[in-house]
Amino acid sequence: MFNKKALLIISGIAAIAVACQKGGLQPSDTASEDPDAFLAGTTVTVGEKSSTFTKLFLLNEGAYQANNCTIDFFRFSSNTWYSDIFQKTNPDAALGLGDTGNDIAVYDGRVWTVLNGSGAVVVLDAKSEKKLAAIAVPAPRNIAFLDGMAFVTSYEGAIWGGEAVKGKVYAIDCISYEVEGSVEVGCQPEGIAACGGKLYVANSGGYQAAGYENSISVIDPGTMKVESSIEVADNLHQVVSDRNGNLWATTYGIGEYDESFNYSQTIPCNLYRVNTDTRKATLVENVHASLITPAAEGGILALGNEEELSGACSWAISNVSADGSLRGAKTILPTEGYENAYGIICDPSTGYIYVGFTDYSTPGRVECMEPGGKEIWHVTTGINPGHFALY
Amino acid sequence: MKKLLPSGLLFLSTALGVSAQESIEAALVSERAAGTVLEAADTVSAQRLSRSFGLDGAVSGMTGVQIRDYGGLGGLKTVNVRSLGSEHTGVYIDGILVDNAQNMQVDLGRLPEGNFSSVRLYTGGRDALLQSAREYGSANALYLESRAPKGRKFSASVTAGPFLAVQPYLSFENSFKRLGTRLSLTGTLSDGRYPFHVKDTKELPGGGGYDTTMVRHNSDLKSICADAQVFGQKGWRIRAYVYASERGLPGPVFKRGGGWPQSSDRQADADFFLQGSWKKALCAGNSMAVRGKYSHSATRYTDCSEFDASVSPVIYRYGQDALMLSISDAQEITPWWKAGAAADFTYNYMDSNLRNFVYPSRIAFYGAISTMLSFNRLKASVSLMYTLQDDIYGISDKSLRRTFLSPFASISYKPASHLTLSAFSKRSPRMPSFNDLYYTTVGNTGLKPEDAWQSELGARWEESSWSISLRGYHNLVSNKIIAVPTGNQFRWSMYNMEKVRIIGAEVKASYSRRFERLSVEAIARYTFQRAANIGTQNTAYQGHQVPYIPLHSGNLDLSLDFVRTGIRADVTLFLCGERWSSQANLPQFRLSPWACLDSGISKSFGKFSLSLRACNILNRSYQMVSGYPMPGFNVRLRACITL
Repeated sequence: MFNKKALLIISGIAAIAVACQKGGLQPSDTASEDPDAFLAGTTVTVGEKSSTFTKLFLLNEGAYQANNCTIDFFRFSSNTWYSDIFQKTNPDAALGLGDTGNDIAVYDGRVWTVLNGSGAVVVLDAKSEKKLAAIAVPAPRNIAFLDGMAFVTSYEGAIWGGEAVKGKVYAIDCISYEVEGSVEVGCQPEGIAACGGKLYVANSGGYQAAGYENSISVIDPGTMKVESSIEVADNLHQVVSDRNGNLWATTYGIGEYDESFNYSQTIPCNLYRVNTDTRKATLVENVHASLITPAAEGGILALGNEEELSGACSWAISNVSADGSLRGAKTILPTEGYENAYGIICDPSTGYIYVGFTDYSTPGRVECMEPGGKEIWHVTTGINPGHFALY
Repeated sequence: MKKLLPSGLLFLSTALGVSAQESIEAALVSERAAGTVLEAADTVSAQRLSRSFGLDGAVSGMTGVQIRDYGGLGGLKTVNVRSLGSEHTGVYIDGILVDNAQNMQVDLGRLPEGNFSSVRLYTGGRDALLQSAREYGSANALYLESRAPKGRKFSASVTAGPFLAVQPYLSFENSFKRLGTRLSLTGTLSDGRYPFHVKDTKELPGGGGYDTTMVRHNSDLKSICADAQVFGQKGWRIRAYVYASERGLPGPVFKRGGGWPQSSDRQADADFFLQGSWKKALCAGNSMAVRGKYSHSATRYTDCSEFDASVSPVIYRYGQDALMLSISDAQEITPWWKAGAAADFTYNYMDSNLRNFVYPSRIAFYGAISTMLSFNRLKASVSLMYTLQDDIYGISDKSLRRTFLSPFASISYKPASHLTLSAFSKRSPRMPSFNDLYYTTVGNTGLKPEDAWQSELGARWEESSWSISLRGYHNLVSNKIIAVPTGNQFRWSMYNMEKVRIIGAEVKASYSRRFERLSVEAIARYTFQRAANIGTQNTAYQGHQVPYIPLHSGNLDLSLDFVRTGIRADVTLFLCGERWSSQANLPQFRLSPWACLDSGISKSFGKFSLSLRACNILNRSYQMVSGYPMPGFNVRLRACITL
């Protein structure tokens, strides 16, 4: 009993400590007619433009094997940010959403989350955030949609440093939530995009002792067969189709040891334009592309560390047009020294860019900025705010 | 406490009337009484050890100690003293360090408690003159004293525990003329499955929440341990130890989709060491000690695919060899003034099948000088230890040097016969481990030693039947070695980044009384630790409590010995306040406080004895490490025969 009393005091102190944290945001006035009232969100001040979207969803990956993958969302109409909503809208789901999220997407009024650590794809209703289904997919990575089907890349049985094991793409019916089939692609497939009626899968091969993969597998969704492949570069990461149907791909970069056993990155995270007709990829020079997302005006936004080869941090966004040229100067992001930029999306209706920042172990931050980089607002998120989706 | 223990052992040995025994004991006692300014902060006696069913259980109650227990018999159990981190706690077996250059962690679960007669904890290390040089730089020292042979005795016991565990234990001891030997053999077989609760209830309009019982899988353990010791009357002893185990690594609990199998990763270990020491009084007032050790350990870690049983697992192998030689000498200059010097040499080598492995060898010299004054009421000592460490890469001619200087001063004063006041200040290094430096793609060869400054003020009041001690301390850890993400977002590296300030207080009160039919011992301990991350990389959480350190913790321990009936009973209540699993002390990282009540009873029937121990009687579900649930209520039964 002595214990309990002490606890009350301690948790009281903790509550005060939490309340005293910096960050200029005030808890929202929870009006009774607000459908999200019980989620207790944070109101932010927005700019003049209003979005045509209802919500911006954010998947916080969480820490590896810590079972703390969470979903936040921003409701444009009330300018309110809601944190960690899954357990509140689905209180009976044992152990919450799951472990180590890796992708989120909205399709046909539903939110699809890909949980790499839990080996599951969890589908929520985009309106109520209630869980609709959980589909088991081994070691899933990323998701794309085409004609009422969801396609998920999977590392399947691979182990880091092990023998080469081919990954797969699983096809899931968006109505029945059943796995309809799968197709074997390259080792450790990462990004996936639907473009011109075909699926494009970036193979990384990052787990293998033998070396990296360097090509994109092209899948015909009708037959679920790999019909061809496009050679790009070693250790592929993302493949993204922009608003005009142009395909882009990025690499993870490669590191090496020097003779004093200091490990450093020698090849940057590069951006490639992929011509789906000629099956040729062209390097976009002078762009660091840790992450890419479609730009509002077509082409691609590339988020990268300009100093990645020296090991320092200088995060910037490059706006690349379809021909591979830079639109204007790069936008240098203000980061506190410990942070890495970790996720990006652009709202095409307003041009606003949302960037997630992380230090990998404590709650991250999402910043909403104008295309020029001027900050509009920021909020505190879960751990590793890495993936966005607009609804 | 320190006084009670040796005299208790002496009493036993004289009662047995074995002369050789006496001299072996005397040698052990003189080693302990060699003169220290600071007393052990806490002690676990032989009797408490024997009832503890595991060394970690015995150590966990000590003042200032945080055990990190990953649950079950196979789960790793390490000691963290006064929030400095387990790498700062040296575990010594008879004065010789248990060395692990790979990760600097010692798993207490691998040392059978039955082979030791006492455990002493020195917060701030020990200041004895004849110790090895390296000890002068240990921030904290957990001293395990071997059980010395007493006459000729054979004992066998078998323990049946929860989760289908069986632990047989055999020991044979013999002291013959000038030689004592002790052999023991221990085995463990455990299925390791235990149920645990996960729950989260929400205060929501519609209510709700979940409370589920799950079962821990893949936490089985098979182990065998053989330990042989020879004690010489003339101050020498030799020990050979072999440990082999094979276990499942259940991993943390997290949500798994669609019935995928649980973790199937495995780990197999084989450890061996041979150590010896010899102490001799040379000429007038001069005595010396020589210590040596060779150890080899091999670990095989099998990483299995959770999602596809047909995929061949990846096997990682690690091997370590270590050699240690130490010589120390102490000179009595006047009856109140002594001086000592010690020099150690160590060699470590590590082998692995990891990609891009460096095959590091480490050659280190440790040199220490010390002096001690002891008057009737006042004792003081000063020492200085120097570390010189060279790492040589096996696949090139590159090498790396690190040095560190550790000063240490201690003083104790007895203003009244019952009162002792003491103080110390000490700077200790934590040298970077092989993993910190060379682990593939994570290691950073530019690491500096982690630096810990400890200062303490203490007071102890001692009466014949009770005592109370108070200690207050201030620790400052700088250049703390932590993993930090690099400019490339997909990679981490080790850096000397953080700074931690720890302000703590410890209270220990004990009472013991011997009545005609009953002897009673009661101990209460309380620890306050405010361990704040200052100077962290992330300023938003500056000043927050260091992960896994409770602000408040303590325990109550009562034991009763009904002398005539051979019945012994004890009750222990452990209390631990809330902790956080992250340096951000936010509600989502909070680990609930826990209380754990254990109780045991034993009865001896001549040569037989039976003991029963009930653990976690309140059946609380709690976690010491986030994601690693501890077992609920469980009972162990031990039958023992001594011939």
